[in-house]
Amino acid sequence: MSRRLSRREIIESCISRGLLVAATPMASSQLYALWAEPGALKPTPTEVLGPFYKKGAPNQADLRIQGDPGMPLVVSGRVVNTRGEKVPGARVALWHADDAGRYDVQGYRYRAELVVEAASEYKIRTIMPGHYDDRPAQHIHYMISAPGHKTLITQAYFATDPFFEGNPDAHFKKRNIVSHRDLVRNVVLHEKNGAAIQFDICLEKA
Amino acid sequence: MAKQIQASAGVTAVAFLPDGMLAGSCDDAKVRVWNAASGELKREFARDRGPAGLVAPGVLATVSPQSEIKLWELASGNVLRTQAGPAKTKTRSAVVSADRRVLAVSTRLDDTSEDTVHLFGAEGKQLHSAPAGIGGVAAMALSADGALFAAASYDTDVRAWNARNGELLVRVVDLPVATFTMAFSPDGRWLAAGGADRQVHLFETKTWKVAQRLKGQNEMVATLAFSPDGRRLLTGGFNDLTVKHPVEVLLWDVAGGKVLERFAMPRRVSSVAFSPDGRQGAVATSEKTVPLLNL
Repeated sequence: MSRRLSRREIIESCISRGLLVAATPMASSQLYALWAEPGALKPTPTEVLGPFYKKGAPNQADLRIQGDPGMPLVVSGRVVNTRGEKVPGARVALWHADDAGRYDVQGYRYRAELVVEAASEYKIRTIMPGHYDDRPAQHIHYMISAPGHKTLITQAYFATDPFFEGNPDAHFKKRNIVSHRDLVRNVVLHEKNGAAIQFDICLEKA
Repeated sequence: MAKQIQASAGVTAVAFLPDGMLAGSCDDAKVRVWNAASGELKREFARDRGPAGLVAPGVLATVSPQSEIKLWELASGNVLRTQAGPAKTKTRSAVVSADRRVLAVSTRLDDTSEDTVHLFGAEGKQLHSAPAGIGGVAAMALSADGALFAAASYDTDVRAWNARNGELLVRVVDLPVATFTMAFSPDGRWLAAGGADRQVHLFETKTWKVAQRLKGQNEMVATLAFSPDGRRLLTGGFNDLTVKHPVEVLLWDVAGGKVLERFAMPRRVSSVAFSPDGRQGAVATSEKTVPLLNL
């Protein structure tokens, strides 16, 4: 008689055979958590805020600037809490460096503070952030706040970044920059519209 | 008179000592002390690795990776005091008042984004603690007499407390970008705060209103120091994110809000200091050369 498989082994086997498919892209750890305990999602890992947060960014979804270099990028995602509930009214502040790796601290280029509506989703059109000396992995900073929830500070990274040498599983700990593998997102490339990542946000209740 | 000090390691923070010596905290986890007039190395001693707090007159506060805080006397290299950081937290930075009576420490609980600040008295007794904002403490300052304490957070807020009774005196919420460096004037009348907006905001500590905004630095302000008489200010910083981008150290007239002089520096400035007579300045750029300025 064959050995009884663990729940994890069954899930792994199903994922590898395409039998269990996430409806929206999610990290495998999130998928395990969701399967094991319906409704109990893992909160998004935290990251450092960094020195260049700026208050008062406009609520704008299109951050591209005519004539600015950089690969077009679309970033979208859902905002939920660990119970899987939508969080309408959540404020998603995000900011990143320009193609040359510089932050605009005098103005609001590549900065937005979005308020998510009933669908609890957000989407921005921007460019791929550049690299810079102090933090050489491309990233987008996030600060997400919502009534009744802990404020989350995190960052999204790109699996295609040369920093990860084509293998983020092996290299995400390099130089102690990235706090958690789940923050490195797969990139979808569209023929006309450039790159896209999905970055879902899971908040903890306060 | 030496125009510069030559060190055998990169110097990240500088402070003059009362006896004509200059102390430098170096990136090889050593402190070196030179004769500022001749440039001769007089002493060197190993300090703990990990964050080295501001070099307050004659004292250095360090935090080890195990969150142990030490106060070092720069003149002798002796450890004045050793104490554990607050329990169950990671100690991130520490500063000490010029009179050595108050020690301020910032800490963080694992997996949170909010830092807490703690004040300790001369014997290491904890006096007060308070939340200090989201995203981490970017700068802390104690007045020379240890009566006032300020902490700036990367969420851009600046808070100041009465260090004696722990009362929150002000929470400044209208700075749009972060403050990276702060110092009280020697008489405690002003708090100077500089940061990402390339300005220095001078707060009057009686009212906590901004009395003056010093504009003229072309870089983000990463370090500042008052002259011993409180009339002048030295500022320095960095340009965007390229470490080797040339920058300037500025000498300011505080009352008039005017730039008195500009000094070219080859790369990012991390620390500036006045000599006790106010006639000389020293600049740390993480290079092995410490420029000395005639002021």
